[in-house]
Amino acid sequence: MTAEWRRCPACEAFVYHKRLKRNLGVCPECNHHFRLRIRERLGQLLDEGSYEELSGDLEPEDALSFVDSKPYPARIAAAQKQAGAKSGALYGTGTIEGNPLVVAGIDFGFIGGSMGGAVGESITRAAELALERRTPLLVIAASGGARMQEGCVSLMQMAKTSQAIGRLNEEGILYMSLLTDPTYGGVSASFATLGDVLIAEPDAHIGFAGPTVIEQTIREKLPEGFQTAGFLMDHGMLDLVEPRENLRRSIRNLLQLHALAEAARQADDGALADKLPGTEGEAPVSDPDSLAQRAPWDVVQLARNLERPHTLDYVGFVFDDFLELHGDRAFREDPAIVSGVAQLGDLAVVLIGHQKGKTTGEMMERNFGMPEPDGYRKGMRLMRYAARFGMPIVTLVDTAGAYPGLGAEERGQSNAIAESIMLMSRLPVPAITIVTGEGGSGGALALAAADRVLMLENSYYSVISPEGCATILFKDAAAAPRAAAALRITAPDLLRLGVMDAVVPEPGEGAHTDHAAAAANVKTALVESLRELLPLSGDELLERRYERFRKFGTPGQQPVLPPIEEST
Amino acid sequence: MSALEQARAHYEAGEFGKARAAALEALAGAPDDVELLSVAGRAGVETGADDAVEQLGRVTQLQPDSADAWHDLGEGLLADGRDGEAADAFRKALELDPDDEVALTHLGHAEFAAGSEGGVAHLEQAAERGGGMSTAAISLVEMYRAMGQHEDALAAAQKVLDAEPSDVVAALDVAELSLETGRLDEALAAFERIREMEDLPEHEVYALHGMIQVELRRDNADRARELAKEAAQVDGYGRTAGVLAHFEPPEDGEPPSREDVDAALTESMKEHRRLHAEDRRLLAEDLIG
Repeated sequence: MTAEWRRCPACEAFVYHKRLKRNLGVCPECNHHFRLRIRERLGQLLDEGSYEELSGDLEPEDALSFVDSKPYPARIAAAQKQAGAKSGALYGTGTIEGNPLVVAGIDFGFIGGSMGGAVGESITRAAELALERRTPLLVIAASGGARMQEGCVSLMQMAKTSQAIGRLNEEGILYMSLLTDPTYGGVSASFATLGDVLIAEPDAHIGFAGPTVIEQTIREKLPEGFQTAGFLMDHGMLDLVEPRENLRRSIRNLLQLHALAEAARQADDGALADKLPGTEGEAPVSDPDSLAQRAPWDVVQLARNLERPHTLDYVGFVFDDFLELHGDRAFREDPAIVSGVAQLGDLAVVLIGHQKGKTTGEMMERNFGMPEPDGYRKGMRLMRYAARFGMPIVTLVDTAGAYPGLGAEERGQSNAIAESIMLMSRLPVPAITIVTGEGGSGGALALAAADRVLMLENSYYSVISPEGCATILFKDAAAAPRAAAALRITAPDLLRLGVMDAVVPEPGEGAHTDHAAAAANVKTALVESLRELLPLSGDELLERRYERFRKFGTPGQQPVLPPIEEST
Repeated sequence: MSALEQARAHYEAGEFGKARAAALEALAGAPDDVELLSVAGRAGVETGADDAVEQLGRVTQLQPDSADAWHDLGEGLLADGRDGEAADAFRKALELDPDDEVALTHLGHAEFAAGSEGGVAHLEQAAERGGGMSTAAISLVEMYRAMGQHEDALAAAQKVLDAEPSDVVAALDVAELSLETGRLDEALAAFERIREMEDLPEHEVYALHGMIQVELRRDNADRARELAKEAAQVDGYGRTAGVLAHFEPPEDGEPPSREDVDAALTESMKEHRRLHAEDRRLLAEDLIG
């Protein structure tokens, strides 16, 4: 065939093959992502000429002497001839914009990408090589599942590959899994979904059982878009859904951020502070008497100001780079909490924060910054990520509280908050929390069991909302201003109580009047806190953090505030 | 080796970046060298260079009577998604060389995309010249189907199958179109043939599903039930469970309706086609899907 035209299976347009290839195999008419052969995929992702293949000797073996309508060796031979490869998978080394990685991939064109011994061997060897070299691993999956002709030998590849990935996990080596269309069965239920970061292309179909089987089992029509990447993203199963044109850039960003983390792990504790950036903001304040005295109810209004900067606003000002990672890997992506890896100077940090939204639509989508258990579980996933890779954690707290809803209770809101508090309090990496707006009770504390807890000057932190307290204790919802004062929820009182370590000044009439200046102060506070914490070992951090929270309510250690008249 | 020879050697070896670099370097001293411009432009089309079309256009200015120059320009324009301009270039190429089957094929596709009826006519000519497995012949089947001309589509599909008897997509076209046009005996024979051609047991199920469709269309429920049982035996993924339940209702619930079964079988046929269409493309080049 000399003149190639492809018909897009999605929009049915005829597309000239050179145009399609130039567009990375994405239909220029409708953005349908055509499936790619694995070598074409590597050509798109890796630096030209950087790929060195190491899987040359691997090919399937007929361990069962399996015969269906023809012997398995005959099927292997036919597949090898058709695919022009010895096996359905390959692995090797390469670079992306100079960042080294080990890469492995499955070719769907070889017996449907099914996983037999040779495929599992490629993935396992790749993982072992990544461990030996302490180099990040990228695996590109496309598979119908296990290879029936290899019976339980195929099944055991799920265990073999998973344990190899487990070792990477234990040693803090980054493993990125790129899930392409289609990824099913024994592959999706083993190494392919065990990535530290799971990336999928738009509309890729990913699942365990196929949709036809599910429909026939449950005798119900499945919803539109079932098992597509978007569906999985909404259900918290993926970190990123990236169009093909963005894949190389996203993977490069991850590699660069992790290269910073790896360099920090190799550096002396004393030298880590040198990696922090310069700052221009005002230093945090630890003397309560030097702070402006505002009526607590006025502070509550300022903390709730819709124009106040939220987590993603601070990201843009404070950090040099940020890659948002999504999903709790269990039920749902909760947009009330945002999380990801950020660059601060020459350090990679994990950032987790509440996100309220600006417009009505966004506020509704983000549930006004009130997380459900899925949000906290996403946060915990990122906390473990930080611990695994030795990255400091920064949390930005701004929530009226955890969402009081039916689904939230059904999925264990209390337990999610409790586990988040416990996990954060025992992380062996520096953890800094800044309350940037509302610090609503357990929903805030779930992200605030840190080594250093700070708050913006016009934020508040409270066991209950002033309105709630007024209704319950004062039997009068209108008594909220009085409750706000009685609860001692403002920065000066919380400093005196020891709940806060320092207060971040706000510009002018409040952070909402100058986002850039507020962010500069936040950055200064973060950098100063990290400068103190980075030289400490994991054990020292844990001990000090324990003591920090141990003192609250302990007789003789808990500061007691004078009556309000004297205090204000 | 001259700079031109070097550039051509790289081009022939598929080293398009090097070919273009060598040609561009030599063009600095001879900016209107037609051969160098041609290599630079064609290599640029492969690498996605912004100025490839400009270079190929310059070749047509310098050699307006070269069919190859117009052909190359057309391909460059197609790669840029400028189908209308590409069609003009191919028309010019065909004026100069009416035997250029590839230009005819490109012109047909470009015109079809633009909604011109002439597109199909050009592809018919190209298919005549190129034979059953040409791009034009394969596209014609799909175009006729898209236009609802099932008789023409069936004839075109049969030609493709005659040219390449092992092509499962062509066999599927013949089977489906026979079913569509009410040729039930031919449809059954075609699905039986696909069953023989199918390499993997899980694919045999698709052929059996096609045969069930034919028997249902013939109101031969007994034979359809036998086939459904046969399919269920080789179906490792349970795709036939619903079809079988239509004939042998479960004790604990309503059996799927005939409409449900028809829909499931149609979906199965689509899935089968998609899988083999990928194989066909995979054989042609790296892109599949």
